[in-house]
Order: sequence, then structure tokens, then C-alpha cells
Amino acid sequence: MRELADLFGRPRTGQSIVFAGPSGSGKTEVAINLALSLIRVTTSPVTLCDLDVVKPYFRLRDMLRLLTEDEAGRLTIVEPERRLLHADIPTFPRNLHALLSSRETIKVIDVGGDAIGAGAVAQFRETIIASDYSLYIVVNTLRPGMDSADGLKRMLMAIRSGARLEVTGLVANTNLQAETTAEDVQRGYDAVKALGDSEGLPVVAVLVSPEYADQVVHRLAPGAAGLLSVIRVFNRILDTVGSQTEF
Amino acid sequence: MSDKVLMKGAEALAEGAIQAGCRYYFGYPITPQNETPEYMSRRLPEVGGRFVQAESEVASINMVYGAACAGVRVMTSSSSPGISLMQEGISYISGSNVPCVVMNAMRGGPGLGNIAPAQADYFQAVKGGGNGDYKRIVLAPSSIQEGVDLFVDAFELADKYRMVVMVIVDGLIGQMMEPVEFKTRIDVSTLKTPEWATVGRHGRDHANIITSLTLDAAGLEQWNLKLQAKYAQVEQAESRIEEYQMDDADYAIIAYGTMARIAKTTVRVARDKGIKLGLLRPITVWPFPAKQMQAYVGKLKGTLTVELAYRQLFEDVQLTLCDKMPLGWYGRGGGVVPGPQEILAAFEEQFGKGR
Repeated sequence: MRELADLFGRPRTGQSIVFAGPSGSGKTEVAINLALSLIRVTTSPVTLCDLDVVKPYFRLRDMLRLLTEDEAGRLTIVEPERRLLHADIPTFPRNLHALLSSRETIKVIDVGGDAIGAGAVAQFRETIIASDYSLYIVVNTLRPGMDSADGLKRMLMAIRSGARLEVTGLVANTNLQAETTAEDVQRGYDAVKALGDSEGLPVVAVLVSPEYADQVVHRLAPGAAGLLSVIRVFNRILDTVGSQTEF
Repeated sequence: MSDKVLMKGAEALAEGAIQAGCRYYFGYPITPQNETPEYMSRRLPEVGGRFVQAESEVASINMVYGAACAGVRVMTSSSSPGISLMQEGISYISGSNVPCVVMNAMRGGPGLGNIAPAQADYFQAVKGGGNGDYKRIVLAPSSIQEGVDLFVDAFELADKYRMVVMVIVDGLIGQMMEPVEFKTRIDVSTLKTPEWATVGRHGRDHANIITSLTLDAAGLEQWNLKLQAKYAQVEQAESRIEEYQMDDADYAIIAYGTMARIAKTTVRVARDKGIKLGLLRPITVWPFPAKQMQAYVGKLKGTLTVELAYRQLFEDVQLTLCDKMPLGWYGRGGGVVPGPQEILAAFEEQFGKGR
């Protein structure tokens, strides 16, 4: 089992790690988990940045309440103004250019889904390029349209042209929530690996969640097993939320 | 490897409609169901269907009216304020006796409200919202999978009774993600164009004319009596309920949709504490499963109605169980969703420790 920050090359202060990908592929989960991993293994300040202008619920800003006080205290969160949190309008945080060019902190950036979400960051392109960035595409091959090599290729092209940034690598996040099997994870990895091979991109991580990790980890082929990391799940179906949920 | 895919509610329901034979969608975007038109715009052309983003909800529902008159499977979807704008069209479609499906992913109201989940359009869906004496069948799934399965029933019921069928969910079911499976695929080539459809004369001696206009009072009364007879038949045959842990229950929570899903956890927590609690979950809210609920008169010591609204579902529970048992109520509004413990606290406050 690998530390997530290590799978992403243990980013250094000043670097930006950007997550994009098809809607519902798990970008926000991966971004939070990487930020939490970074505060575990480095002493650098870590900034988690919510640039999702697409989806109305289950955004980074909705999940932050699930962090412990200690975790929240060690992360700097950049999100749209509080009073606009539930406004159904695309808003970016203030001072974004200044933040994206900061050399004082590691920046983990969660971008909205599909080409449209990725397109929203294209306006910060120059700043992101100047900030020593890596861009990862998170893929769940059990999402609609992601079940074929063609579909995956089209998705990658659309997000590349939306973001207008170079892609660094791919993250295999294939899952059916609690119903995920080892075969699902293995086949997901194989499909993402094939996409990476044809595009010259590495697969940097294979992610599983604690609810099915035990049944999966020992049944993966070495290629996938060597990239495996268990992530904490923040988005979970509602009836397990123990107390008042206010959206 | 299963045949399941991980889908967002609003996408899965759209695919469910396509699997049910829907080939025409007309709509206008509104949060929290934008993924439905987005998905339809991509998928319908792939299956030989048509997607039109109309200029407004008023236009959308009238396009639905037109396609419904041609006897094809057609739907629209929206969220609360958009559904309000469609009420005139829904009344016209009902008055014209043609079938269609309308989905409402309910959000906080009244007015523009917010984009958070709510169930406050219950009266509008169940009692009407447009003018005149009409009814529509209203289905209320509580999971994405159930919603997908109910979409097949929605189109079948719409065609069978020539009625508007509404599928009501809330923003949460629209936005959450779950694994789903598409079990039923309707082959659209097997769907026959109905006799009454306005698709040309085809050698008949008369033209089909569809209208909701009847100028003479006696004629319109006769038309209304026909509709009423049909509604009575639907009430008799189509009400559905899920009865969860009701075999030995002393008390029942009554809830539908997302709220029922959370209440199931309450039932389990209560049973761990020795309270014999069950859940009565209407799957159709019109026709209301009154008979199924009345069967518990004499067996239950009380019910607690729980909803994301203020005493709307509760009014139908009161009409059904009136003075037959103590009737408690707990609801939240404006997009606040209570958790299982809060529901249990409301139960204990109103019924003591349930012994």
C-alpha cells in the first residue's frame, strides 16, 4: 500500500497539482486525499483549492465539514466567498492569480468535470504554467461512456482541449462504491493503462476505498498493485450521514 | 464483473427513460437536474431520438404536448420553479387525454428558493397545479435504481391510461451517485402508434383531432365524467407502497423518496433500542396507498409522518387515517435534510420511548 503523496512524486513547495477529468470520476475525493497525505508526510504548507464551477452538490466545499479540526487547521482552503457557496452561479475564489503563483505552499487544485469544468481553468493558464504544475486526469471506467478505448480517448482529447494544458498522468479510480470487486479495479487499471500507453502518459495511482479494499488488494496483478493507495471516502450516500445535513 | 455502472441520479433517470422507449425530450435547464437534459442531448441522437432545448419551460411542455399527440414516448424534466411554469401545459395535456412523463427534481421554495433538496412540491404534484379537475399518476422513487426501474412503469402507465405521469425526486437523488443496472429495455419498434394519434388520416374516414376545448357545458361535463371514471380505475389498480419492518411494528414512520431512505436508518436505530418501529413508504403518492395504510388500523399505536416540507404528505395521511390512531409529524424545509437521529428524537418527543 503506497502513500498517496509518494505516488504523485511527493510534490514540493510552490508546485501545483491540478485534477481534472470526466464528471463523477472522483476528482474531489482524490484532491482532498492528496492534500491530507501531504500534511502527513511533508512540513510544507498545503493549500486545497476549489475551482469547480460545474456541479451544484457534493463539491469540495460541501465535504470540508467532514475533516477533523486538526486536518482542517493544517490545510489552507481556497473556495468561493462563503455567501456565494450555494449560489447557482460559477464563481472563483478571490486573488486566484496571486494564490496560483504563490511559491510558499503546495497547491492542490480541484477542477470541475468534463471539458467545460476544465475550460474554466484555461483562463488561468499562463499563471498555472508559470507555477510548475502537474495535471492529472482521474478516470472511473465504470462511469457512462468510459467503458471503451474510444470513449476514453475522446474524453482525454476533450479535457486537454478544454484546459489547454499538458497532461502529466492518469489516475485509475474505477469503482462501483461499496459493490466494487477486484476484477473491476483490475479491468479499470488495464483500460487506463492502455489509454496511457497509446498517449504516452503514465498511470500514477490506482485508488480503492476502505469499504472494499480488503477484498481487492491481494487480488491485483503486480502492475496495478504497485500503484495502490487506499483513500478516505467523503462523498457517501446520504443515509449514513449521522446528523443534520444542510446543503 | 457486474453489468452495473456508477451513475449520477439525473443521468441514470435519463438513461432509464431511454430504455423505457422515450425518444423525445424537450426541456430547459435548471439546477439540480441539468445532467438530465445534458445526458439526453448526447444520447437521444445516438438512439434515433430528438432532443430540443426549448426557449423556456412553457415552450418545453407545449412541445411535449405536440409530440404526445403524435403518440410517441416523450418526456420533459425540470425543477420546482420550472415545473410551476409547466402547469398550464400539464392541465392541457391532461384535458386532451394524451400520455407523457414529467420529472421534477424538487428544490427549496417557495419562489426561486434555492438549489437544495426539498419535497415541498407535493401538493402541486398530487393535488394539481394547473386548472380543472385532472389527476396525474405520481411516482416517488427513493433510490436511483428504483427511479430507473420506475421510469419503465411511468411510460407504460402513461400509455395505458393516456395520462401525465410525474416522477418526483429531490435534488439529492438527482445529484448523488450509485451503482445502477438497466434491467428492462423496451424495443421501440414494438410500440404501435395509437389509433387516436394525429399522424395523418391513413385512409380513415375522419381526421383525429386532439383538443382540451369543449364549448358546451353538457359535453364538457360528460368529458369530465369520463376522466373521473378513468381516475377511479387508476386509484383502484395502481397504488403502491413499500412496507419495511412492519410485521411486528407498534409504530410506523410514513415517508417517501429521500426522506424514506433516511427513515429506514431511523427504523434500524430504533429497533436496536427496543422500539418496534416500521416504515410505510408510498411509491405512488397519487394514487395514495390509502387502503394499504388503513390495513394497519388497530395494529399500530401511532404513525410519524416525516417530510422535507410542511404538512403536505401529512394532509394525505390525515385524510387516510383521520382519528384512527395518534398521528405525529416532523418536517424540515428550505433544503435542510434531517439525519436518522433527529427523526428518532422527534419520534421519542411525540410518542415517548415507544413502549
